[in-house]
Amino acid sequence: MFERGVSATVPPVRSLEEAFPRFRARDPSTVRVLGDVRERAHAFAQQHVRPLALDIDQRAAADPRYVDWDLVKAGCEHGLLSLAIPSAAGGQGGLVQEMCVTLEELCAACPGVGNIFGAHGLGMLPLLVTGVTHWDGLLHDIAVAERQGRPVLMACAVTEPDAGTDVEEVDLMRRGKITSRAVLVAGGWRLNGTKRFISNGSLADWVTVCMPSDPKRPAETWTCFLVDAHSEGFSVGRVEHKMGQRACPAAELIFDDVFVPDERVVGRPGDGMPSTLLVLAASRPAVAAIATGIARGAYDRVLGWLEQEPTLIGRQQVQLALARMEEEIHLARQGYLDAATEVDATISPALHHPLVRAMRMVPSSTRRRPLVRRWITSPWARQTTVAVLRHTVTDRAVTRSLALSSLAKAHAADVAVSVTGLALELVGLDAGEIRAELEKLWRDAKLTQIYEGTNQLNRLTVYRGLSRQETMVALPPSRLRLVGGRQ
Amino acid sequence: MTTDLHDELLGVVRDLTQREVAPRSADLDAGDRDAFAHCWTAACAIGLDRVLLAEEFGGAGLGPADLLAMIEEMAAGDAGLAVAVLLHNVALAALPAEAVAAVADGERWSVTLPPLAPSLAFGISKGSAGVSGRIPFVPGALGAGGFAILDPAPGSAALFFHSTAPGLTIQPYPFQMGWRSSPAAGLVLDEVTATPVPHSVGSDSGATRLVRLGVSAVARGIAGRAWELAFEYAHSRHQGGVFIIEHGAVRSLLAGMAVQLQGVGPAAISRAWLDGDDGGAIAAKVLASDAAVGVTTDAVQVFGGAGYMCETGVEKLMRDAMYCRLYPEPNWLVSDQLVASFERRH
Repeated sequence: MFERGVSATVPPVRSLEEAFPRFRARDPSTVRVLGDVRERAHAFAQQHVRPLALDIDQRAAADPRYVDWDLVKAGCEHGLLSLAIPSAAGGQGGLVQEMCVTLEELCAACPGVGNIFGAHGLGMLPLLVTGVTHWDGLLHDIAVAERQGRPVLMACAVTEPDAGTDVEEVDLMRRGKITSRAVLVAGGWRLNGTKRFISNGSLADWVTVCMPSDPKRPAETWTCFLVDAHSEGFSVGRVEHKMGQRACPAAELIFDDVFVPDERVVGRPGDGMPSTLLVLAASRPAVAAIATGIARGAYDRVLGWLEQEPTLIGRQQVQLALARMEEEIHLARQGYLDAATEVDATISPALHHPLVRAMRMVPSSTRRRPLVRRWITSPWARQTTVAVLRHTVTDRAVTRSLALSSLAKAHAADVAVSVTGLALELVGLDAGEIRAELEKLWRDAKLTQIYEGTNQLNRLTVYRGLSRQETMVALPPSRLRLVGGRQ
Repeated sequence: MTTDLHDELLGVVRDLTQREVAPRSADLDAGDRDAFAHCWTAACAIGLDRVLLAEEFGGAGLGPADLLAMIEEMAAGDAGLAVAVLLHNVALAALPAEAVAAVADGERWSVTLPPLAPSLAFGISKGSAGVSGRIPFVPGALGAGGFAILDPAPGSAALFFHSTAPGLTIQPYPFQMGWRSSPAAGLVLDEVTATPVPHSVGSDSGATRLVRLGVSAVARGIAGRAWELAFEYAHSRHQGGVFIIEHGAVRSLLAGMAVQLQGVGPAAISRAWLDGDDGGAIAAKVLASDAAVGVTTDAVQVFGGAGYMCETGVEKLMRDAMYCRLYPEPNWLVSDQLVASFERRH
């Protein structure tokens, strides 16, 4: 059996300028920041994650609830849980590009472990796109806990037993069979229903969950809630035996009359579906980066192995295959980077709006005072957040971002499956540990064609957003109009 | 054999597969030895362990084409079991009569092929004291009663030895992803006394050709099962208020699968056998295994998230299909051999 341990050596990572040639034309400070983020993720991934990847996979195959908490804690030391949390809330202020670059590195070592941090980021995304409301609550707490070496993990629960693709697309949702339901009660909401295949579902302390308040009009009443996993009525059902990405458990979450107070509604009631599009625009490049990382992980391994096999690497068939892999990975990486850059550029004006900048300048301790906090979470403040979004971002810009993100995701996922298959074929069945690692990466790769919307659904979004130049309703409506500072 | 008898025999194998094998598919995949023993015993009971042997050896006296058709049926239930049946039959066909007579009822043998690339050679050497060297991947080696080492070079002999032979070490193969009911192992031989025999299946390269065609039959069986499951699921799963078969995206996936399946029909397999065509056998194996990987990957896609979960049994087909691409050698490696087989004809 292969041994478990921490690696003392870290293979070199290509410089950003070499891996992403277009970085030469970019702002040097952005390149430096992304380069640092990437170096840190690479060191963590190669030192801590890769040596454990096969072992974790086997343990989780035997017990799907198995989680390597030591590794998650080690991730805390590298700031992987607070990467996307705004610096004003104590995080590192990373955007989609930082998240993507990090995920490529983690997933080149182990996609399952990478997905623990990716799914955590996905859980936070609804909070991040709805402005300052949650900065000083949960997001701040996550960043503080991380500094104390105490991981507070999140998950995002959308898929239902009878509604997978349906919950990712507004037209399908209208005709779909959504069985979950949120009911308005005094002081908050009562949630009922079952969510399925939720990555991190059995690990998360907090879950962002989407449910309709009117099952007959799910798209119009789709609402996002922040649920404490220790709430009464919340439970974890079955944890799935999966083909791959086993380090990150996928669980069934059961909501049995779970009470959620008003202040834990994410955004405004009924804004869930437009917000979902914005979330998907930001999360699909991340999946593309995961897929790119999987392909690159396979490529790195096969290249390293072939260096010990001079008779094989001397053959043109092998050289052509390697060139093909390099080609595919390069294009997949450009795809996710394009999409991530576009999403960051799309939401950036909102982040730099004077009202948001002003909120940033208020010390966190002040924002956390009960009176100020009550104001920040009030319906008026939520309305203002939406108005800022509407003022600085357009439906078309989000649609275009979403389409580019979907393009990157579908392409990179196909690349991950084909490159890992090719790598496995190159080494064959007699390559020891490398063969087992490549088999695992090939199993892991398949999921990227399915989650965050199947590749088919993603490509239909590409058609709508790019081929047909359609504009989807991708932002919540606002009756409040702001003046000045429009981008 | 008449078509009626052939169909009747296939019906018996299909019935066995549906009754005994398919319900145990998940257990077989989990490496449950009792489940394997049960299925193996059931297969032996209908003579699947001695398909190619003459009737005086207790065999069915059938030809390779019949064996291949049966292997395909069985692979729809469990690919690992089908591979075990294939390799056992090839091994027995390669053994001399007295060795076959010594194989106990229910005992299972496996077989090894020489690698195509010289760089991957086993390093087997035949000295006066015995055979030494290492053979890296032998499917079904764990639990096998003995092994035949095939060598397709003209005029050379096969070797066989029992699993209890002094000097033989059987090293379990860690993290086997596909064909998990036939746990593989590496064989390390240290001056093992192995008995040489001439080939008895067709031409000198007959056994190797039969193994490749057998793997293509396994691949077809896997792909056919994946197609059935995906087709059924598409008619039972609702999304967007309709069965998913109504969605063009799903129809397109299914159509692509159907085209791939049609492209690797049984005709190609039996023609390659009847013509003694090594190149045809290699091509049939490459085509069928590539199709199996493509079809099973798409089948998981039709199932969506559910297909990625072990309980639906579709992802297992994808893993099994990949091993068809890798055994007896990875598909990319056959290009030289394939072209050489055509060069020999000219």
